[in-house]
Amino acid sequence: MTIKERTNEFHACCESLSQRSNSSAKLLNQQNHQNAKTEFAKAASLIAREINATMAKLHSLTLLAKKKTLFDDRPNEINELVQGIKQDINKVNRQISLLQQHQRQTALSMQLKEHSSNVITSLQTKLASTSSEFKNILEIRTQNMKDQKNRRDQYSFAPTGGSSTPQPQQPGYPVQNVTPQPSPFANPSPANNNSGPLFGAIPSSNSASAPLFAGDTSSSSSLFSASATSAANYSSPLYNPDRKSHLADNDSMQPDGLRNRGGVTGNGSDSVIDMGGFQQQQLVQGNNNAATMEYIESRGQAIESIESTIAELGQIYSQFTQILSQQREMVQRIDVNVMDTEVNVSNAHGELAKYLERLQGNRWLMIQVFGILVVFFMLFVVIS
Amino acid sequence: MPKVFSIAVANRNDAGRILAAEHDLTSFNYFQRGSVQEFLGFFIKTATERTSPGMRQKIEEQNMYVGHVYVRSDGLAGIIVTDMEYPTRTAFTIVNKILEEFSSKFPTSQWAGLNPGSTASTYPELKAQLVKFQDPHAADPLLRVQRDLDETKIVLHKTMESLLNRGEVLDDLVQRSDQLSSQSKMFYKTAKSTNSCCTY
Repeated sequence: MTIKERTNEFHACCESLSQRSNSSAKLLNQQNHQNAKTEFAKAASLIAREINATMAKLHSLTLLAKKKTLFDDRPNEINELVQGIKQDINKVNRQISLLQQHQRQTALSMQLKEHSSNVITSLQTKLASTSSEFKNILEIRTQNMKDQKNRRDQYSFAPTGGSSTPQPQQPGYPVQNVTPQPSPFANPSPANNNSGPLFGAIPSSNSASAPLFAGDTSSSSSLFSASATSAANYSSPLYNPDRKSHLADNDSMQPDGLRNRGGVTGNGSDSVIDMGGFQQQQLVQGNNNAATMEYIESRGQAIESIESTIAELGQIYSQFTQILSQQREMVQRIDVNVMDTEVNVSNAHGELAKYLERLQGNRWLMIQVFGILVVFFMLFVVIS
Repeated sequence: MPKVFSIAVANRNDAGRILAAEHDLTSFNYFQRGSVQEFLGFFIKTATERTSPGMRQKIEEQNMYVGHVYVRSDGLAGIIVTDMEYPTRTAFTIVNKILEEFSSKFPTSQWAGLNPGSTASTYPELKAQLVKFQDPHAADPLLRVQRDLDETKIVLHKTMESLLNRGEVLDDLVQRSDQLSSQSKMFYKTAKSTNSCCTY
């Protein structure tokens, strides 16, 4: 649904109507309403334009992210686009909420209120769809980077013979710095054709991480780490579009070292240093930093411990249910016993009542029997 | 009791210039606070400059302070200075969060013109968050979840104990009700037999 400005049409209608009805007061009223509506419509159209611009950026980001070539990666551009899109989304969000507040305050008629709320809803849905697409793109991007890393590993791990040790790399460091790097994204298209320069490009890009170990800054290391942290930052943009659903802003769990490999580009340098072994070491050591590895490992440990705690809790609950079902049997037994007791006692009570009755009845008979005995006794006394 | 002394955001591309900083110096002597603040500022600047983009670093100082530095790829750096007890992972999580907030609030174009004085007014949330993050549990969702789970486990253990007690009680009840029913049966039989021999 696009936001079209149809104020002119409305004006024309009003004029034609007023010519018929000739009530100037009504016209004034309508004009007031028009003004308020026009302001709103202007703001809404501004927002829609910005959303469209953001979508265009997102589209170009999609194109970049979907590229499958190994070296035509443009991490810096992608990062800038990502940051730009994030800021745009935030800005548009703020504007929409401002507009909503403004709309609620101005007293408009029922229809205008409905219309403005519809407009705001449509803007919000547009923004939501944009941000969800953004999130998808970021996921695709991380997936691509993982794939690239795998493919690069395949190529780089193959030639293990002739791999030099890390020590020769140190003297190579000044060489690396001198290597011209006109643009980090010089497209090594010849590299794509055969695996020789391919291999050459990979070690040179990875030897760029050697300066990082020294902890100094240099253009190559900044490039390398730029791609690395751009990768690391994807973790947070991955969660930012979900901010509306109030997700915690956590980093993703993947170690930075893995991300590095995916984001590294062919530096376009010409030095072909045979560095297969060193590369493997670097893979293991990750993004150059004990603190980062410690951070990542501690996060991993924390999550593992949480997982084990939850598993323990599950076990406790199942034991709970087991014991509870056993106790249910016992309760049923108790119930049966008590019912039996009740039946027994009531029967015995009945018997005793009968006995009492008989006793009481029997007493009368006893008296009668004894009375006859006494009469006989008296007879015997009288006769003798 | 883990403590956070300050949170700061700096721009590494601009020679470590501090963009926003909040300190909590209540644990120091009133007279020491000025020098401590200066020292913190210097520390933040140097740490930012010495860390390359994409790196996290943990700098320990005199066995009293630890500075956690994280420099992002675009040059924005987050620093948090705590005492030795504060868990490292939580500190880095906080730094990430602060950097995200800061970069969403102030776009890149504004960075050149910021300094701690101006941002203190436009970004008061930093102060609020400094206060909030004194408790590492509030800052780190992982820690919070872990603590809640531990409490739940304790509660469940207590419940298990009371459940076992209940089992014992129920056992006792079963036996007693058994006895009761047998005694009532005897009672009934006696009553019946007393009734049977009626004829005197």
